[in-house]
Amino acid sequence: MRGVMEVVVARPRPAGRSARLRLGRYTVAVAALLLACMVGVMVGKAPVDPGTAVAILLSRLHLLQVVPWWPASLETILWEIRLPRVAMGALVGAALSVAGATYQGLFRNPLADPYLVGVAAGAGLGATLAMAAPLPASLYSLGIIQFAAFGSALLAMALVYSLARVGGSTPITTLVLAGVAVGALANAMTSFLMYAHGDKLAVIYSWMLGGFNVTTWRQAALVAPSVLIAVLVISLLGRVANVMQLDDDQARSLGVNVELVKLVLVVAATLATAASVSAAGLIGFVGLVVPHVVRILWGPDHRSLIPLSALVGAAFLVSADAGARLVPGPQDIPVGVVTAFCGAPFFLYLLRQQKRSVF
Amino acid sequence: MESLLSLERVSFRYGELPVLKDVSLEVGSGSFLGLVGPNGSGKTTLLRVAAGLLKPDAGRVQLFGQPMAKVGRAQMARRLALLPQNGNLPPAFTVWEVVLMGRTPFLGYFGRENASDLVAAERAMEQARCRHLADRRVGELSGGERQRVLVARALAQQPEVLLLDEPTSHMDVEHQVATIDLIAELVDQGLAVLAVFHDLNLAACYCHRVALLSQGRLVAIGQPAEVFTAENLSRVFKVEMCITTHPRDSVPAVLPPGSRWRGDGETRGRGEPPLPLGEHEYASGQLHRSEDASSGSEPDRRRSREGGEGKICSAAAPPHCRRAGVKAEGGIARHGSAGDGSGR
Amino acid sequence: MIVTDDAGRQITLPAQPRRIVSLSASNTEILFALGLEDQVVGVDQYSDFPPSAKGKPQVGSFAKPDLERIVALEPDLILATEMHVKTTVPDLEQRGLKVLVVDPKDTMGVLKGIRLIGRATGQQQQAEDLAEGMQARIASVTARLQGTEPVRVFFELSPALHTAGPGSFVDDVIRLAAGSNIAAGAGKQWPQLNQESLFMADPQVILLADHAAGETPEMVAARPGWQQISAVKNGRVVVVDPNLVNRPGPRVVEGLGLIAGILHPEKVK
Repeated sequence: MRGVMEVVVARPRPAGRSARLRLGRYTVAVAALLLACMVGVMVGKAPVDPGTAVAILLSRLHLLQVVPWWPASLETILWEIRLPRVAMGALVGAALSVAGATYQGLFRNPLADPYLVGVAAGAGLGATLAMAAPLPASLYSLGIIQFAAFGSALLAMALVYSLARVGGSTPITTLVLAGVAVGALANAMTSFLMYAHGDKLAVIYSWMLGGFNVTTWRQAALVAPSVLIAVLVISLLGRVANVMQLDDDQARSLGVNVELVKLVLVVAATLATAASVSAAGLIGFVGLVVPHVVRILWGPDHRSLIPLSALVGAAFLVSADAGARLVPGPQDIPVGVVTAFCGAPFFLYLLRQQKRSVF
Repeated sequence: MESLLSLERVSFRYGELPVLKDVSLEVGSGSFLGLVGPNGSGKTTLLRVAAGLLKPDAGRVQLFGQPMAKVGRAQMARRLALLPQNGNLPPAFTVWEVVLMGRTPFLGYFGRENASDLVAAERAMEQARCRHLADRRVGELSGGERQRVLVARALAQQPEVLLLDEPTSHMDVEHQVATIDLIAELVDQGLAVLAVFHDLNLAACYCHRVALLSQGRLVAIGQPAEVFTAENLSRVFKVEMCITTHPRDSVPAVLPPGSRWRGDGETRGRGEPPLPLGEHEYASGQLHRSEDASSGSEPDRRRSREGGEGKICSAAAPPHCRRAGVKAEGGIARHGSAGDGSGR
Repeated sequence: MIVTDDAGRQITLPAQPRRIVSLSASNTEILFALGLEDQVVGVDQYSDFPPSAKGKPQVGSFAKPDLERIVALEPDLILATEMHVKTTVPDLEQRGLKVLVVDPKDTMGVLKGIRLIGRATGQQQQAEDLAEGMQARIASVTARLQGTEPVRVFFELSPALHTAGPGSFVDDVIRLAAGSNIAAGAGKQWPQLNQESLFMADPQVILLADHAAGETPEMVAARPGWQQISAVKNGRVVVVDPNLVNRPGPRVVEGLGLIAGILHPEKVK
């Protein structure tokens, strides 16, 4: 049968989504991210004009040799406080969006978010344990809280995965149920720890709220590898992720090792989420909404959905964080409030425009 | 005939529930095996075992002469395609994207589709008559259109063995015939097909052989005329079907027991024999009115049916049958022939 | 006897309550300071001062008092705070129990609260003595600090820079100690201070109330960019026990003395 093949030359291929739109979308997404980063660098409690900001950055990068006309404190603010904040916002935004898109695809459920398999609860438990236990100060200065959160998030996922195994496979419904169960257990243990250590309530709550107020370059450097690797791996598996949208039987009969792909995708998404939560606490809404926005705008093909979600998610969170800093007064408002405030109406608007199914 | 797929004494149970008991069959290159049976008889399970999705508790499955377990997943997908019964299709993907997924076995995890993949997919869509739907989203299609998309995807896999689970469900007659015609043509070219049929007549018209499954057991396997006997069918389906011969070809036609309405517009009472609706003559001479059987007891009527003389019933049978290849016995009909019953 | 409590409610009380339950650590301290240790039959989970208070039966957490346990103790007076007014207080009063809301907002309010509890428990004299003593000590501190230039202070409640804002108790103590809370411009009582704002405000003293999270002055000094902050440059980052300054109770004078001593060591010992 394979020998008999007429090569159809004259007829045009099915257009699919137009090629022009295809190239345009990456340009738009990258431009959005660059714009968001620029805004993120310009906006803050310390006023700085664009020219000075650029000069400071260039001179820090040794691309510009000038005698500084700006105070050292401004340079510190820009370089040590604001820029890490922008970098972390981009990393976390990308991580949460990609994780959300992955889970939505894996579980074939548009309501899935990155915290579905108990990752957030696990991270919270780890952080609380680190704060409750009487550890030596040296460990804290090394960032034990962040490591503990990351580690226990991964442990939670491993527990969820092993609980969900049925025979030789891990059905996605049991994965979700196990995630809910483990999450509930972790939350209960965290609540108990908070009850038993009332004197630490304030600091524990403050950790949970998260945010980018005290982000350092070191934290960003710790988070970056997990996030970038995860985004890369999931992007490369984009075509296979498409096939996984069919049910398990169909994917298997198309030659896909469904269990292996599932495992890789879950591990990668969890890695990204765990890194984000350990550094920035629980920021909701990003992982849920950004993938849908990208789907509505540019389609459900994972080969583009994943990278575009990363870019758009990064731009979104950086912008939201900048927005959080625009509030008058010296205080920071939780970035999760801003994401919900901005994202929800926009998402509703997009949904109304789009009558057809986007999933 | 080289056997491409064979099941030997396969048994399977879901937990404690036995679903398949000691089933053996084989399909070879260029052969069309139809699988029929009532709901719950294990047809879909059998197909899934044949496709390597389920591991049998007893017996063995061989693919291309090798035990199924030894054939690698990707390797298998390049040579065997399965068209599932209720395949979930993500609604926002276009038909083109879904059909292209059929090329997955040839692409590896990180590969991209190349020109030959695009050509194969496009050709598959043409064969399955859904090329005009290429840019439509799958979620917007009707049941029959989705089915054609699934067929196209299976064809895009360019398999040597094709397993179909009710390939013509949801389709109207035009597409049913076209699809099965297509399958049969591919069988002519060497494809091995094992297909579950709900419609016994389609199976009878197109399959070289049919296998009748009941409660997990293979009741009969062989040519349609051998398998679709009144005894077999009434035992398995628990209904007295009216078995006659297709007016144009000498294959069995299975019809409902009879019409409920009398010709004069009144309802027939229970147990009343059906009345002939009119006079029909067929050149093949297989069907004719039989007055003797209009009265008389049940055994009489059954006897007369078995003899190939039956009631003229109101039902639809495929317009013509096509069984390719000289392997089939019992006469070969040509497209559009007047049904003179003569062989090729 | 009829008293008006901090929530503006008018309560009728028996002359001498024999069984008192306190739902907040600060009120527990006041009760013990008034010599009512034996009359206290139930305390909240966080009542840890004086140490003997820890031995009293617990009636749940500050946020979620356990109604059943409170009722089982058969108290004739319950001291609650503003936080309990909407939920716990109506529940308790429905069961016929007497609840007094004592929730001082600032240092002067503590004195008022002590006097109120004194009246409600028949310990007017002890309350007056205590309040006068506290007043005197406060006055002595503020007198010594008369005319002193306020020192810019950052009160760190968490490593993420949560702090005490305007209207909070801590803010009042800092003000009395001749400090200028750099979070005074924030809109709420417990804001999270933006790090850039902190840099721009350049606090001269940093009070670490988050030692519970493992923060030490060394760690603060190691924060990127913080070496530029005056407090770090001059080594004026000090760990304080948050309970000394955020509990509106008798120990607030100690807290005030402590803070004043940190902010103005040359004026206050």
